[in-house]
This record gives sequence, C-alpha cells and structure tokens, in this order.
Amino acid sequence: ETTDGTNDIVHPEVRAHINSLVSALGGFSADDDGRYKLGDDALDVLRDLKKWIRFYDEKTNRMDVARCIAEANLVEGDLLHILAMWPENATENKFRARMALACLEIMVPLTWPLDRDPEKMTVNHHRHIPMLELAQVAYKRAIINFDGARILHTAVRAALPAMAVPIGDRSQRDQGIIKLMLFFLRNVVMLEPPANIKYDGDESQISRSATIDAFSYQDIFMVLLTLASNMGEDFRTEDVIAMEIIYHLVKRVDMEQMFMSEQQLNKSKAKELSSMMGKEAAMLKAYNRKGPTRHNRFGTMVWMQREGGKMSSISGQDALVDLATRQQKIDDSKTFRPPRRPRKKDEMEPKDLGREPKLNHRANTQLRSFVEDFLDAGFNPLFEHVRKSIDREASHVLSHHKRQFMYLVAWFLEAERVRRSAKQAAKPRNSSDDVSSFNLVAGVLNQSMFITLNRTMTQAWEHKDWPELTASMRCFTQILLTVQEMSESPNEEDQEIAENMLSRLFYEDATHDLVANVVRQYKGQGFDYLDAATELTHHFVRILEGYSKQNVDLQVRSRRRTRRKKKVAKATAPDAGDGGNDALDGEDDDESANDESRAEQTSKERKFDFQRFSMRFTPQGVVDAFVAFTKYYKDLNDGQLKRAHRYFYRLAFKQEMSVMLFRVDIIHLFHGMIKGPEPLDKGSKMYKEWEELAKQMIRKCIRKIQERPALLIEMLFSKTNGTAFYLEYGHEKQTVSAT
Amino acid sequence: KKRKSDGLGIDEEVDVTKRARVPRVKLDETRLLSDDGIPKLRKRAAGLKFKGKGHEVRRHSVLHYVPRPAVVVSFYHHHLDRHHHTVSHALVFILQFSDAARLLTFYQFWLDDLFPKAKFLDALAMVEKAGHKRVLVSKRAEWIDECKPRASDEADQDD
Repeated sequence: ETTDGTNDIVHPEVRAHINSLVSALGGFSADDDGRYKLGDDALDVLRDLKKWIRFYDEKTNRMDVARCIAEANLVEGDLLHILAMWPENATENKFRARMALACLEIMVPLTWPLDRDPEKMTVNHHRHIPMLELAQVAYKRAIINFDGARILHTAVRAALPAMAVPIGDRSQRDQGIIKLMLFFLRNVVMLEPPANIKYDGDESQISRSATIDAFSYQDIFMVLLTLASNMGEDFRTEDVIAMEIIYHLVKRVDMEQMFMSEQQLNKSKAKELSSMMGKEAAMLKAYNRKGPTRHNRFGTMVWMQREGGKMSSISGQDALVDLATRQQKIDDSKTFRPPRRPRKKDEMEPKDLGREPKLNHRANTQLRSFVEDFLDAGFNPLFEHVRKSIDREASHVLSHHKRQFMYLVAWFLEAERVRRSAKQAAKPRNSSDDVSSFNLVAGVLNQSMFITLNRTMTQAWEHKDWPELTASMRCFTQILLTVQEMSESPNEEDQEIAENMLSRLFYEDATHDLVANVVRQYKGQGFDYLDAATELTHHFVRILEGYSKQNVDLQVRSRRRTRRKKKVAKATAPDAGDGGNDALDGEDDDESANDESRAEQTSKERKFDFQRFSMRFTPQGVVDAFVAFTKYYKDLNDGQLKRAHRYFYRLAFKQEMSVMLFRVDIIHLFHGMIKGPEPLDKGSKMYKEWEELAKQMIRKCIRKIQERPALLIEMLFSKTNGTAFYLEYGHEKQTVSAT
Repeated sequence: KKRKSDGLGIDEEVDVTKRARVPRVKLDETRLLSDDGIPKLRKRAAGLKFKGKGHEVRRHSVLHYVPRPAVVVSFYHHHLDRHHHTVSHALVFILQFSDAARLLTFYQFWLDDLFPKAKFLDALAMVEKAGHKRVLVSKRAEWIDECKPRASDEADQDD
C-alpha cells in the first residue's frame, strides 16, 4: 500500500517479518522453465507463518498478519503451487504430505469466515475486514480454478491416511487432520462476495455453479457421500461439519428446476421469460394509458368539488383520466411520513441464506446426481446422527447447527417429493418396482425427531430466535406434506405407518397452540418468517381437517390446567388472550376433565372439536398476518397466492366470520389487487379466483353495511370476537356453552 | 425587542431559552371524537348510496363529490328493468367494484378533511391504533348499541 514512507496501517515490523517469510518460502526458478522451487527451510517457514497467525493474530485479536499475507499474495503465489507439487502418484511421499498439511494449516485460518460481531470488533477489524473479505473471495477463485492441480482433492488426500484408520485407533492428531480438511472444504463452499458491494471480478468463477463443478471434478462429492453413509460407524464428531458443507452447497437451490429434464427446463425457462415479458408489457401499457399525451409543461389544472363547498385542485394531465387517478394523485402529493421506530428495511430475501443461486445446466446435473445418491445412501445415517448430537447437546454442536439441520431436513424432504413426482411423471403406469422409497427418509420421520422438532420450535419461540423458528417451521411443514403423501400411497403398509405418524404429530395439544400463536402474534419479523408461518398454518389446518374427518376418535393430549394457574397466566400476560382464547377457556376445562372418557366420543363431537380448533384462526391478529402476507401479492407465486386465498375463503365462507375482513385497509387491498393501479397479473392462474373472492367480499361488505350501519364505523378498527360475532349474526354470542 | 445598542451589540444579552415548539398535530382519539371525526363520518354516511344488485339508482345522488362515471350509468339504465331489478351479469361485476371504489372514496375524503397531511393508508393505520384506546372502545360499544334497535326493527320488517 504505502511505499513512500507514510504510516502503514499495520506495524512495519510485522510486515517485514511476514514478507521475509514469504520470500524465504520459495519461488519460481529462472533456470528450469520457470517452475516453482521450494526454499531450503520451506517446512519451517510454513510453521513460522502458522505461529504468526496463531500467536499474533488470534491471541491479540488483530488481523494484521492476515492482511500482510493477503497483500503478499501467499496463497495464489506459493501455497497452491506447493500443493501442486504433490502429484497423485507420489502419495506415499512423507515430506510432500507434511508440506501439504502445513499449507492446509495456514489456508484454513485464512479462509475462515469473518464474523462481524459488533460486541467483539475492534478498530483493527473495521480496518481490515472489508479488504480481507475481498481477499478471501480471491482465495476461493484461485483454489477452485487452479489449473496446475486439483487442490481440493489434494486436501482430501492429505487426510486420507487418517481417515483410513479405524475410529478406535485414531489419535488426536488424526482427528484434527480430518477436521482440518473438512473445515477447508466448508470455507471454500461458504465464501461469497460480500452482499453490500458489487464484485468486480468474473462472477462465474466463484459462483455456486463453479463450486459445484469443482466439487464434482475433484471427487469431493464422493468424500461427502462416504462420510455421510458411514456416519456413526467410522465417523462421529464430523457430522455437523459434513452437514454444513452440504448446507452451503444446496441452500436456496430450486429443486423443482433441478429435477427437470433438459427439455422441460428449457420449456419452463422460456415460459418464465415470456410471462415476464408479458408482465412488463402489461405494466407499460397501464402506464401509457394514464400517461400524458402532451408535453410536461402543458399545465392542466383540475378542480374537484367536494362536500361542503370544498375544492381540491390537482394539476397534470392525468387528473382528467378518472376518479381513481385523481384520488391517487391527491394521496401521492402528501409527503408526511408517520413517525415510526426505525425498522430494518423490509426485504423479501431471507437475511442469513444469501442470494438465490442460478445454476447452469452442468452444475444442475452434477448436483442432482449428488442429491439422489445422498438420498439413497447418506440421508438417514447423517441426519439421525446429527439429531442425536443436537439432542445430547454435544460440545461440537454450535448454535447455528440446529437451524441448518432443520433447513436441510426440509430441503431434502421436498427434494425427495419432487424427485418422486418427476419419476411418476416419467412412467405414468404404476409399476411394481416402485419400492417404498419412504424408507429413504425414514430417519427423520420417527418419534424422537418429532420430539426434537417440537422442542426446537418451542424453544425458538420462547427465545425469540426467528431464523431458527422459521427453519423449524419449514421442516415441520415438509414433514407433514411427506407424511400426507405417504398416506395416499397405494401401499397399505405405508398408509398404516402414515396414519400412526399423523396421530402422533397431532397428539400434542401444545403443537396446536404453537401453530396458532405464531401466526397470531406476527409482528414485523420479515417476509421469510411470515412465509414459513403462513405455509405451516395452511398445511397444518388442511391436513388436520382431513385427518380428523377420517379418524373420528382422534385423541389430543392437553395438559391439565387448573383454573387458578390460568388466572395467574392471564395476569402475567394480559394481552395474550386478545379474545382469541377467551372463548375457548370454558371448554378447555371440560376437555381436561373428559380426558379419560374421550375415547367413546362420537364423530359429531370430534367435528365440533376441529371447528373449535379452527376458531383459533379467526382473531384479528391472524387476519392481519395474512393481510400483511397478501400485501406482497405482486411478488408472490401461485402457491403462495393460493395459500392466502384459501385462508380468506375459509374464514369468510366456512367459518362465517367475513366481518373480520371488513376493514377499510383490507377492502382497499382486495380492491387494489383487482382494480388498482398495479393489479394482480391477469395471466396468472390465481387471478380468476382472487377476482371472485374480492367480488364476493365486497358484495357481502356492502350488504352488511346496509343491514347494520354500525359497521360503517367499525370498518375503521380491529374487531374483537364479540363485536365481530354481533355484526355477523345480529345477536350476542351465547356465553354459556350448551354442551 | 431590539434595543438600539452602541457599537457591535456585544453588550446585549442573548436569550438562550428554548422556544417551545408548536405541538405536532396527531390523529388520536381526541381528534377522532371531535366534531370533524367520527360524528361527521356518521352524518355523511346518510348520504352514502350504493348501486349494487337490487338497489335502486338514485338519480340525484347526495354525494356531490362522487362524479358518476357517465358510461356506466347510461349503460345501467339501459339494462335495468325497474320492476324486477335484473341486471346483466357483467354489469353487476362493474357495479360491485364501483361500489367498493365509492366506499373507499367516502373514507378517503373523510380522512382528508380530518387529517389532511397523512396518506390514506397511513391515516387508516393511525385510526386503527387509536381504536384500541379505552375511550374509543367504550364509544364504539355505544355506537353499536345505538344501531341495535333499529337493526332489529328492520329484521322484523323483513320477516
């Protein structure tokens, strides 16, 4: 940086030491056609460098050495070449192997992901991190695209002797080497250009596609599969690291596209493009229709006459178009922003997952074959093992592993379902070789997994750990969907198992409470959370309804709660009731009293039970959550739109609580979706259904207003259940439940 | 007040007390309960007429500020059988949404008069928030009670 004698940001002596070490390591010789030659004491130099990193950087919590190394171009200029000097046929060479290990020991801390933990950051961190982030991306580029040798493969070779030793005979050092190799792989997969800057190199050299390509070419997928399928036998503590590598490989990959054949993929991409262009054309047309027909200084001025002899003046040609535009203009001219707490920017992208990767065809094929092999062989052993590690709170499990575990289970379950449907589409006739492939994912469909899942959800809910809760909700949803698919399979055994599982999933009353509470108490946790919560609600209610209709004697275990305890709980959480639980309380007591006599209950009462459960999704909080979700309608896909539509439909027509939707902003949203300036895309499949729903809602609303003028005022406010009941039926709700 | 000072005005006392700001106008329960608030909304509600299915069109609508879309109205007259109230299907659809627009306009103009500076959706959110206040909760219950007997009368007549 500074060679002209001005102050350097790192201590000059440190820089001098590092530079001399790097130059002593070796270099390109001038005589034999410019190949890399090791220095005399190369191994000691590498060890010294390691000591510098450990005893200067890590002990004193600086990043100076890392910075000097980055500026001295150690990785690309030396280490990769040294690794390349260990050819495949010289695997037995002790000295070379030792050198390779020493290189790895330096590269792992250099590529270690930097965390910006505001609690621990010092001035030095702020100084170096931006530059180091870029340096790390450069490391990744160099490692993946190195021409001289297969670097990742070399790393694996360095660990092979240790892996070959049976687990009982492995020394501490052997364990360490295996860990080192896995961490190296993890770091390489994980590095991405920082989100807040534009990467000015070639994106394609460090993209997910390039990574997957490198993994496939260098046989890393094989290593991962070996690890996963032998988890618990030859490997124990490596489970979470292996999981992490897989997590960073598959996160946010669209499995629908992954399992398409090439023709299908091309077709879907073409369709996507044409629908996008159609959308754009429609948008431009809408603007043009309302756009000015003359120059912008034409100076049209329109007066609107209003109540009480008031006038509003609006300028601009578009004021002549229609009333809606005029209103919009009046509204848009207002600049006042209501004072709010500064919110984080409301983005639709999940924060902790990075961007959605666009895989090219080659990477797609490679990843697909890996995913299929993994499902066939490694899924059960790996995930069962990780679950056990999480359950016993093993020391090598870190806080973010739980979240990744939940995310991966959800991802692979969905991938398995997509794969099965793709298979069935390929051969339409039900052939008998379709061996119950549910066995492949049985490891996450057992009772202990359900217990872990429930506990994770409740803990995340209590600790307000939203990302973890999001991941576990998605996991729960996928488990439900998989089990439901099982119950529809032609195989009778599968059906029985699925029945059994569903009864266990729905057995805990606490789960029902949680699902209802999560969506009811939504408050600004971001789109990703909202998406997961609404998805879970939708499928949970749907599948529970179907199941309770089929099994009239479905039993639910609810904890006995005395009245006294409930009063205490109410006193501590006065707003938790919110009218949602008040209606249930009287019946709750009945329920716990009738627990034993429940078995002989008839089907009618069971149905009433589901009715009661679904009543938990009528309070204003739940409606607000779904409305907040629907506000994103311009960006939602068909499945998400359907989810919201079904909820509103159920609320209005099955539970007869359409009054909950009669609030001005909700009507405004419905109206805007169909008739507004930015309506729902008319070409989408859901448009017709939404149009019908909006029409029905508005018609109902107008009729209700004429029936009960009081609604005109209540339209402005949230409604309690009592008010809503009165407005809906015109009489007070019977508080004494006639049982 | 500036006194004539000699020279540079160094000897003048400088007033450093903060002048109190004009309090910010808020859309809260007091404003909602004032004459311009909900009482006015209720007054105006009498003039709110819808054109939906089965409701006669008032040719002289009380709502001066809702210019009738001329096309729709003539079309409507053309298709409306005064005695049987049958309206063609497409027309009902148009009318449904025009009713919604009418309703939204009604609220928007009311809010614009009551609290001109905020946008429609922001103002709605403020009103909703104020609706949780104790004063308003009791008031809302009163308004509902006021409407109740009339509602039941109507029901009886319908029967």
